[in-house]
Amino acid sequence: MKPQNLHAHEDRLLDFAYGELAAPDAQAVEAHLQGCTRCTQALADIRGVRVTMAHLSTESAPDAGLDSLLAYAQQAARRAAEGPAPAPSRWRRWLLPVMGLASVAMVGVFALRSVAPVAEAPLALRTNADLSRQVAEAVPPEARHPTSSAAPPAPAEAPMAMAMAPAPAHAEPFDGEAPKESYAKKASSTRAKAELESGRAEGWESAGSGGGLSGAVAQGPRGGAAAKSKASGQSVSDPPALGQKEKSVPRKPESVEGGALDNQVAVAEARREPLRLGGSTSREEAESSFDDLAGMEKDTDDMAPPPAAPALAAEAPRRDAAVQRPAPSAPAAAIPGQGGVETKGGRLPPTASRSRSLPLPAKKLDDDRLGGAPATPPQDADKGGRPSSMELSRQAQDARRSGNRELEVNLLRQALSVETSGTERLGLLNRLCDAEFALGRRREAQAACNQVLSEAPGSSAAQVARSRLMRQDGALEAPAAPSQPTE
Amino acid sequence: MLAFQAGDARAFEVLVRRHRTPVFNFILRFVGHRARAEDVLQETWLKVVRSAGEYQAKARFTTWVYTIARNLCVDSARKESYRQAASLEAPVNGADGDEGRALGEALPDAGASPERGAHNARLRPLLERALASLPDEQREVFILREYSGIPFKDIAEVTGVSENTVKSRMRYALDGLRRRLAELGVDGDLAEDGRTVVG
Repeated sequence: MKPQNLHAHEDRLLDFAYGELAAPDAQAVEAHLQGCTRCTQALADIRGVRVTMAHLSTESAPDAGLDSLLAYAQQAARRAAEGPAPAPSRWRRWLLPVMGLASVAMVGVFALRSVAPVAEAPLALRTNADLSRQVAEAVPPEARHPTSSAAPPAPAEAPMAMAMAPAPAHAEPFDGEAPKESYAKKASSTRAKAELESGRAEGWESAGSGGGLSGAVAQGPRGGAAAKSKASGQSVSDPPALGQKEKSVPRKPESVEGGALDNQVAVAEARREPLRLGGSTSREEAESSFDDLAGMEKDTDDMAPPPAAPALAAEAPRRDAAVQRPAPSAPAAAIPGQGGVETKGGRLPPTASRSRSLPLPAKKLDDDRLGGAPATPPQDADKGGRPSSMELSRQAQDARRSGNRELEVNLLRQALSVETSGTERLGLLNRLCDAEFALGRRREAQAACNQVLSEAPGSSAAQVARSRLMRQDGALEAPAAPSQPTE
Repeated sequence: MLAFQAGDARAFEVLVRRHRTPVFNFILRFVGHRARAEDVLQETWLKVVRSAGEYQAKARFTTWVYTIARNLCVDSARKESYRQAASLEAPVNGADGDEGRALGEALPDAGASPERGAHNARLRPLLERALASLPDEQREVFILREYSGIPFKDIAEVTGVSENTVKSRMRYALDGLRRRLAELGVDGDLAEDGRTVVG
């Protein structure tokens, strides 16, 4: 037997001993074992160990835990029979993180909103302003026009607005006005809708802090007015404290001062509207819009710090009385290009929608000043939507700012040639009067002012016209004794 | 096992009753400690239940369950090696300098007939000692093949080594046992007669 065959059989002895060889191989190994003592001895050793170790008795498995194991298996089998447990779906696994992120985002949004420290104050201010405006709208013209005493508030507004430009921004009014932008975001749905329609919202949202700053600048005079009011000892109203002013609005129909306050609030609101427009033009807007309301009183006071409303209420009749003497009612034809003119002289914001929302308080103010006589309903004047008149008025304002008074006169005359409401027409006439005086054309200027006096002698515009005539005639140096404005 | 996967609890009971004792003996002879063997046995079957969904028909259940049991035995032996505690099966040195006898040898084998009990009381400790003297990798192969009847090919699958390695370990185990039994004075004839050299 060759050695390699011998080793081959030794390697197969293990399988042979444990019966894992196939039958032919097993027979071959058996045949080999008959002639090979070495392999026979090796196989005997394997079997000897196996026989000996086979005496190691088999231990029986313990029964402890068998029942619980079977019960556990039965439970598992029942679950398996019911089908695999619905594995947490992908969206469920993402639900928690997504919800967490959403919560964090919500908290962040609220935090950002609450970070704006001025967000609360303007809300109250604006709410009060809206309330006062609503009250002003609700009050009937008769209640708002206690005859001659209703006139004084008009001049009171004019200086305030005129003082906007020169007066430095004071911290006090700034605090009250700057948050107005943020308040606008919280405005009522009606107002927000109106602003949205007018396209104004995006304007002053995009203006960002510009609106606030311009508002602050525009509000500067208010502080000045307040100072002057305090200096004059008037305690009826506190102009910087808009809230207080507006709190007095409900008492408006009850007294003359209430009416003055009403107008004051209305004017303040009218002035506030362009301020909300933001941007660098807010100041100009404030000025121009006030011009619509009070005519060219800005020029008469020449940027002087505005007196408080009560002070002006007492001062205006004096001017009125002084002007009335030299100011006969002039024929309408005296004003060139005025024949058959129905003007809408209001200086209104550029867009028609702005005109719908902004001039509302201004028209009420004008109505108050005019005693409601010639004024068409504000809705009619606004709904007319004649942008050409507004545009002309605005261009005239721009021309005035640029110093081109001739162009201003032309534009004003063109604006007057368009059909306008009474109040706007009076404003345009006043501006025309001022422009003509500036150009040295006294006759045309007097004609324009007289036109105002003839059309609405008891209105604030007429007072402004009288003041202007008085000043131009040198009568301003010796004002007449205060008297009740002529009706 | 497939039936149990489908939700048949009785199939699992059949499996348990069929394989429970061989698995237990494998575990007992692997770890050499009855109490630990019982714990490992219970843990083995619990793992079978938990892992039933992972079982694939391509593998024999016997191979699968012994693989689980063997891994648990290895873990248990590793933990026990850290414990450093004296075991009943641990040999104690005698006063005469011999290797001594396991503490379990002194305990009576309750439940057996007097003759059978006397025979086992003498032979079993020797066999257990000889078996325990093998290295783990040889002992597990010998146990799986000799007591559990697992073919070498399947043992290779259980232990994760090649079949040739398994056979090599088996040969080493047989040689070691033979030498050890000879040292202990136990051979086939003595075992058959119930005589031991231990004394």
